[in-house]
Amino acid sequence: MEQAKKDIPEKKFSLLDESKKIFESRFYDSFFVGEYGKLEGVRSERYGLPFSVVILHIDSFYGGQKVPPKKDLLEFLKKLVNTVLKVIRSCDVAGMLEDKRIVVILPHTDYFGALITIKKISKALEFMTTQGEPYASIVYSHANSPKDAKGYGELVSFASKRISEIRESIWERMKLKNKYFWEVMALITEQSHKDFEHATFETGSNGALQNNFIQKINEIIVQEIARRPGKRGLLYIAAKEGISNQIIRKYLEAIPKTSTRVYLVGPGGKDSASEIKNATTISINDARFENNMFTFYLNEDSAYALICKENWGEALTCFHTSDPYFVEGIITKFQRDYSLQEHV
Amino acid sequence: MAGRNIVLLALKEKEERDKFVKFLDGKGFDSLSVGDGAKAIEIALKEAVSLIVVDLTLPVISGERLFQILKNNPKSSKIPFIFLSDTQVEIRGFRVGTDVLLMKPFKWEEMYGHIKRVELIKGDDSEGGKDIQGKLSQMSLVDILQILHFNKKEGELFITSGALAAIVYIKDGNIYNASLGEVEREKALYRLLSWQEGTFEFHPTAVTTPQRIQGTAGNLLMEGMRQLDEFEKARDLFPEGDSVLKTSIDTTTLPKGLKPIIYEILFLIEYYPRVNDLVDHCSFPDYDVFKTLSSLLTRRIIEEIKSAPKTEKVSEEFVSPTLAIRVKEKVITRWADMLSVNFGRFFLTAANQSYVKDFLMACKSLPDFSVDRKLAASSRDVNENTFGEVGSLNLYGDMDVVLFSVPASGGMGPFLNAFIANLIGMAVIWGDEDDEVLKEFANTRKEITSRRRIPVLYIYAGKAALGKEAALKYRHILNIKADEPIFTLSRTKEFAYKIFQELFEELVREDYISTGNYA
Repeated sequence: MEQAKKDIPEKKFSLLDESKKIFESRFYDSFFVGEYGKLEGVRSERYGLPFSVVILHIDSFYGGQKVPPKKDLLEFLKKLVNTVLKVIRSCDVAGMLEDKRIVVILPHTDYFGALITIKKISKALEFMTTQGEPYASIVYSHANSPKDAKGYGELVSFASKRISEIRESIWERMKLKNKYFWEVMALITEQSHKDFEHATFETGSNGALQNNFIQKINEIIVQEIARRPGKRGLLYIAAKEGISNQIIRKYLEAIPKTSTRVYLVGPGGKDSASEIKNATTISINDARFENNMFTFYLNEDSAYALICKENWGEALTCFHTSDPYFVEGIITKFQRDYSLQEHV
Repeated sequence: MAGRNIVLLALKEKEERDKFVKFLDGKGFDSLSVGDGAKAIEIALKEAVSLIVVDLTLPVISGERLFQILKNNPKSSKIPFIFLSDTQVEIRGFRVGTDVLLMKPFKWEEMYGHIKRVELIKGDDSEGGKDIQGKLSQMSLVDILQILHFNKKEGELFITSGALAAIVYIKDGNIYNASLGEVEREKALYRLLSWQEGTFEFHPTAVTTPQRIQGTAGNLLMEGMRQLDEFEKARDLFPEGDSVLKTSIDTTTLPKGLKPIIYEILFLIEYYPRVNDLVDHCSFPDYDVFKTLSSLLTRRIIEEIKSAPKTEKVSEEFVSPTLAIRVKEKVITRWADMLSVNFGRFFLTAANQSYVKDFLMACKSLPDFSVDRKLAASSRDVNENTFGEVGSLNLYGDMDVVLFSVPASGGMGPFLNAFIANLIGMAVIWGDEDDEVLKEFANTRKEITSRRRIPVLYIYAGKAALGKEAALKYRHILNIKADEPIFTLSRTKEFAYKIFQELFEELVREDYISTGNYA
């Protein structure tokens, strides 16, 4: 794959220097986006408003096996740029960052806004990049001011650094992007992980931890939400008790108001119709929820996913990770496979 | 409370401050002067300051930072500022029509004009600022709250009785919260209902505090009055406030399904054996606590030790306001939304849960320390469940240091990593027989500090004093530097003081809590 990447002649992409002739006038060259980005950075700092950049990195073609002809490459890039321009808002500015990289500057946009833009772009480009089979691989990265860095230059560096992190993430390494939600759930709990960011553990009869440990983790996450009620975030809990999870309900009801969207997922029962303060119930009658549990928590400071599979004697095999790319990815899969409203 | 118009002068040069004081004195204004930003914050939050004159180049905390902090604090958000600067500068958040920027040298007449204008604005504000005021002997608190409820008022009701002061927050006529010292919610409200003497003032203002009391004002007041009546009737059956209690059963064997208040009380008794302390720290209303205590005493689940000496409440200054503000600054400046961050997390990584308990026992002697009540309420087995928040220390400037106990078993890295964002420090606690987990601790410490540079405190919990040889061994395994101390775990106040002093002093030093790779 590395060899194939090296084989892509750099000069083929240099055609983009003539971007003004090829693309719409709203697609700018790297000098212009650089200057505009600096201005946006100053404006953001002066008025204390967030702003973000999104980078699209064209990683490889045909899984790194071969390079398409020049004509096809150019056609692909034209389509890609035009699609990006259709998807972004009129206030957003898109242009070339360098060869193989397109940058979109998003004024007044925070972490979740950047994620939504990525989701919109990736969805619009989905068919184009797969064409029925893996064609082009694009890595989407983002950085947000003031959280990640200040100023356009620093943001671009941060987002560029993130591209290599994404490539290294378990989501990319295990090629989970092209799997279904339940395939991911099965694959991830099958393997043993021992990193600081990804680990597996056992609870119940085989493990050192009690089964109520999972409940405790959920309680701590809800407490965390309560501590920072103004923080935007997303939480999905599918526990064994499902929607009737009384302890989680109690904690949620104790929070005055929260900007985190909380969803309790599970088989519908007598409680499914009752309203829970600060949470929405998602009633899914799928037998797989009976022996699988999960918690997905995401905000701009924290990302956490816990996936547990029930074994013999109610013992649980659990995988958990703090990898934000995994958490973003699995949430997207879950929303898509169950046709839920896509928040991230 | 109202009436005095104090001008706070936060100016770098003493000569300039003296000149100002003389000038204001001549014009009939009261003034207070300070030479640095930290002291200015302290005074602005303590005194009824109506205007702040600030030098932008103030030491410790700059004039602009001082402005940001006070503007974001509900207690001081309305105070106008007069900024003094040598150059034309842009001040973030500057409120046109409220704040003034004057270039040095300025004319005293101009300064007087601005101060006078502020005084007029203040005067206008105070006319409508207090809708209702009076004495509790003339109008009871229940009546006042009902009037505010029927008129769907929004604002803060200040109540004072002797040395005690309380605030009830009202929005759309509903009672949002009540605070009386450290006590909040229904517990504080019901206590206030018993006040017969004192004064009250209602200030209409936008209430930004989160709603912590649920239910309609009518129901709350009815319930409060019922509890008050019941309390008076049953007073003789309740234990004395100064009595000391202890549990007579093994709390680990408690059955499931008891009322949450029972678990909470039995958990708190170990930390707050004196009845009054226990009642103060329990999250349930006073009457419910006394009633439950009485019932537990009757069933001999707890015992009363009547002759025990009264414990003295710690009143000495534990962390100076300046240090507390510097700690807060260090924690909050990392976030874009500073207002939403008022806590820092401190990981307790212990090889044995009993060490966490001992650590908490030491901490309970710290002023403004509370053992986590939810921990008690949610856990059936009070000895088992020390994963998560176990206590918090409230510092001057309203910042909490939340103690977060982390399980010793392996594989918890992802969970810790997910909650690392507001980490301000960690403690590693181990004993004589914990060599096996030390390597794991060393790895955890390494992983955490490679993501966030934080102070790490090492605490030895062995039976005997730590010998030189053993100390060398632990330094080697845990990779403790020669200049990093190893503390010895003890349940004493001195130990807790030493630990937190070390933590805070380390924290404000250099670029701690910064992100990046420090491995």
